[in-house]
Amino acid sequence: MKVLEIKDLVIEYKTMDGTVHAVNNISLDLGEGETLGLVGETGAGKTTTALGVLRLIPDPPGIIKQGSILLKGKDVMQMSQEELRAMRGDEISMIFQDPMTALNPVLTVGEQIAEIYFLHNDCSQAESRQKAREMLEMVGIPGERADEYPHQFSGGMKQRVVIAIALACQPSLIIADEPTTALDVTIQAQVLDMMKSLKDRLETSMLLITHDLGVVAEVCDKVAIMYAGEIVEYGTLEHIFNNTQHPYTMGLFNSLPSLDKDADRLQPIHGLMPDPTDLPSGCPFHPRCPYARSECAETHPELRDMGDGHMSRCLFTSAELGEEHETQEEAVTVTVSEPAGKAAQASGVLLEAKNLKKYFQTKGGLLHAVDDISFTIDRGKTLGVVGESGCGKSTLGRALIGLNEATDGQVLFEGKDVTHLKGKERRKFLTDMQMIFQDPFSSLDPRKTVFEQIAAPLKINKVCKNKRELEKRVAELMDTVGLARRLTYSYPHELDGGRRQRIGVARALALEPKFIVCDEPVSALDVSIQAQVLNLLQDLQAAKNLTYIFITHDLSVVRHISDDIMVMYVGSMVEKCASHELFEYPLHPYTKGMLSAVPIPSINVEKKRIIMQGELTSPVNPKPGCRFANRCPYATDECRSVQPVQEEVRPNHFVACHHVREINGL
Amino acid sequence: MKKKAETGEKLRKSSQWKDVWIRLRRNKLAMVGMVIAVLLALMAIFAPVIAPYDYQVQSIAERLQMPSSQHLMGTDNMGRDILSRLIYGGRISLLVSLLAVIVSLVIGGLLGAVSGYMGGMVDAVIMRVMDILMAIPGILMAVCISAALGGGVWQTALAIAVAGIAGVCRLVRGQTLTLRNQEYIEAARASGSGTLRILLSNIIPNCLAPIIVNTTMSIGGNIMMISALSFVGLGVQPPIPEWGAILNSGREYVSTFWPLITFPGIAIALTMFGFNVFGDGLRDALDPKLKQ
Repeated sequence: MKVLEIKDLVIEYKTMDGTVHAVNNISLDLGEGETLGLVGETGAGKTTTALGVLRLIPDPPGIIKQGSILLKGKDVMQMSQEELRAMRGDEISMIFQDPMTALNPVLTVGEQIAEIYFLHNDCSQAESRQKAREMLEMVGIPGERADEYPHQFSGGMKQRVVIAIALACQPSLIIADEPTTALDVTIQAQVLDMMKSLKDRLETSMLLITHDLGVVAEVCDKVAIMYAGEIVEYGTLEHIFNNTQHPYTMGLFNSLPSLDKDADRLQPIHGLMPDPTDLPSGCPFHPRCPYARSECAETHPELRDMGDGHMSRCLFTSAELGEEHETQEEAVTVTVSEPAGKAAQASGVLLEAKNLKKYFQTKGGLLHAVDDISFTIDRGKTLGVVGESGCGKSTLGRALIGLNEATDGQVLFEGKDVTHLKGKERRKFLTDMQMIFQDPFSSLDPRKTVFEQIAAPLKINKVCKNKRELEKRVAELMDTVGLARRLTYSYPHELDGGRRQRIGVARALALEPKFIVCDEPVSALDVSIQAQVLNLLQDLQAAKNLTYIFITHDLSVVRHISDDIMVMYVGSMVEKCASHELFEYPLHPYTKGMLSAVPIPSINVEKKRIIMQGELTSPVNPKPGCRFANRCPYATDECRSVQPVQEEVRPNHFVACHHVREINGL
Repeated sequence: MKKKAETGEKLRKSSQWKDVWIRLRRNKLAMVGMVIAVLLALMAIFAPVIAPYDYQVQSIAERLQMPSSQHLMGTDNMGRDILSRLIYGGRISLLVSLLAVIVSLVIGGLLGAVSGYMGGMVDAVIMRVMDILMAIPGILMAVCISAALGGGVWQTALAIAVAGIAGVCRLVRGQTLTLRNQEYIEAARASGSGTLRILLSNIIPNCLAPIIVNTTMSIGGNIMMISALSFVGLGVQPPIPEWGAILNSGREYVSTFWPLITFPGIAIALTMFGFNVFGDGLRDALDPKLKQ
């Protein structure tokens, strides 16, 4: 019997702006022990589908308009509240995205797991506690930590606890909503590994909601690609990855920067996901589809079997699609204005950091966020900075432009010491150096229009003589980053993430800087939008000879955009070299482990995974010695007592490791 | 709602305030509150036009008359028209209340914003002073100040304003603390904005929503406090009509002449009700999380 069968599910939300068609006619099924990946971008209806299965759609404004949901043959739609409550947790359990908020901070983790046994399995208090410990051991946490509170666990550990809670009643179905998105790549690898082995052991089925095709390739058996509330392609891993049929799925793959090949430009899907209150006629994807023909705008395609249970919601098979058509790209005309032209001729070192340190005084002690980092960046180049959360990469970026004043060391910009500038001098220097922020939602003032956001730096620095000039300059900047001028007086909340990030880029460009710190500028964006913004950044760099520091945790993005890459680990630099060199010859054990942990969106690559055990060392009052020693398989006593210095192991390839030569046989 | 993905293709030209207005209009109770508040304001502004009699003219012959077609709410112990006194009294109540709110808003708001944004010593000092202010109940504080300064319109306004500073200060400081760590504040710093500019152009505008709610609520509360002060004889002094004072003058007649105590009581209650439900409605309308 199928564990889960969904037929013709339609879910709508009634809102002020009309009816949101969140889920349109979704049918899928899931056999025992199978894992189905539900893939799509923000607003595709993935989470709504999952909540629908649990009958947790907030009503009002949401309603399940039609369709049936069968859980092991029982109709979820007909269940009473009492039965539903018994079903949730007993038959289905859910793993949420953010482990930080999914646990109750005032109960010990042991109590939180025991509660499930107590409520659902008629266990006594003592029995439940015993079982909770066993469960913790199963997800790889020592049983004696059952009496600790959530805040005593790291993010990855918390997610393990959340998984333990989800598995506690041995449900027949687990719904995991982006379970590893909030985790660092090495921790994600640990958790995915654990989830896979547990699922096999307990024979649980899983509905995995994710936007990450790499994760899908790792753990799923079947995949459903969602777009605008519909399933557009459905099949086995083999079908989706090796015989892609639907143009949207192809677009998703093309938008992804790749770890193993160099591409000059990404091919984003143009445009945006349609407004769910006003879906286009015919195929909802046709306005963005490079293969769209006239019939696509008229006929709404049904899911068709392309052979062997491989379904695609397209009027054509991939063979029939033929040549790509030109789609109207939102005009991105990079206008090169005068100052950039002059800069274009210059080359050489633009920025140099010398033994840069940034410490923060915390209650626990001195936090070494950035510890003794030195590097140079050449004009017109991009230095990628990668590392896991808490490694100090953002602090480094902020220290460079003086948002956090460095504790020690120097930042030289065009040979001039800019580390401790104040007042007027600092403001003058900031016209050369700008920053693009991570979160396109919180980095824009919600009470200001697009015009005001972009005009702010111009006004502060009194660049424009009068209002007319200011308006002209803002309009120019909007053209430069590909923002339509009709959006001039829109507020940020009216725009999508990609457009907001373009505002951030325009704001950073307003003062014609030479150097831009990009702090995770695409991490909050969907892959198709991410590709658009990455292309924009590259075009601007080429046109204006900009120099970037590109801070990110995403290795494929950093490989795509950087000339050089620096790997950071808990405040210190472990490896720095040219981008392709790092991916071909990683020398530091941490870099190797991190590279192997990245889930690759392909099922044809044989992956040798080095699972790094343990967690990041605390940067507060660090012990002497190599920061990576406690996770490093090669660590010796020397590593635990003496901090390694960086040396040039290969030409222009710097590594800070005592044993780099023996490990790599150099 | 997260589902509300607005595509740029069909952008509504609407500001946040327009959205707020639409949401507010759907809240019936809040609209009732707003109508009461607006009527009260109109009544205060046009008092000389609407009031049927002069509020000062005494006529002993006509004292303590029951409501009639001539005196809709009757006359008081001095033979003055109660309705006219209530209308002029509303003028005083609203004026004093508004003055007090503005003063406490400006002082409290600035202190709060500075305190939240600067942090450290500045924050510690300001907050300890506010703690001291908070430790004394507002009405007691107002009573002390009124007693020290003597009665009168300005003195009363000042007394109530001081009592309100601490509340506003804490509110704005709390908001500022959450805003301070937003990336757009950092973005403003990266564009070269100084502290003052950030406070005035980024922090304070983003605190506006809770401030507006707080203001509406405290206008109602202040009217109550003025009445209370006048009732105990510390607030506005006779013969200036004030609801609390009128109520006070009716004390002796509680059992014998009901209009003198009932009508000002209703006026106070209705005003409080109006401003409170309006404030409640505004809070809901301004909270984007309730946006559907």
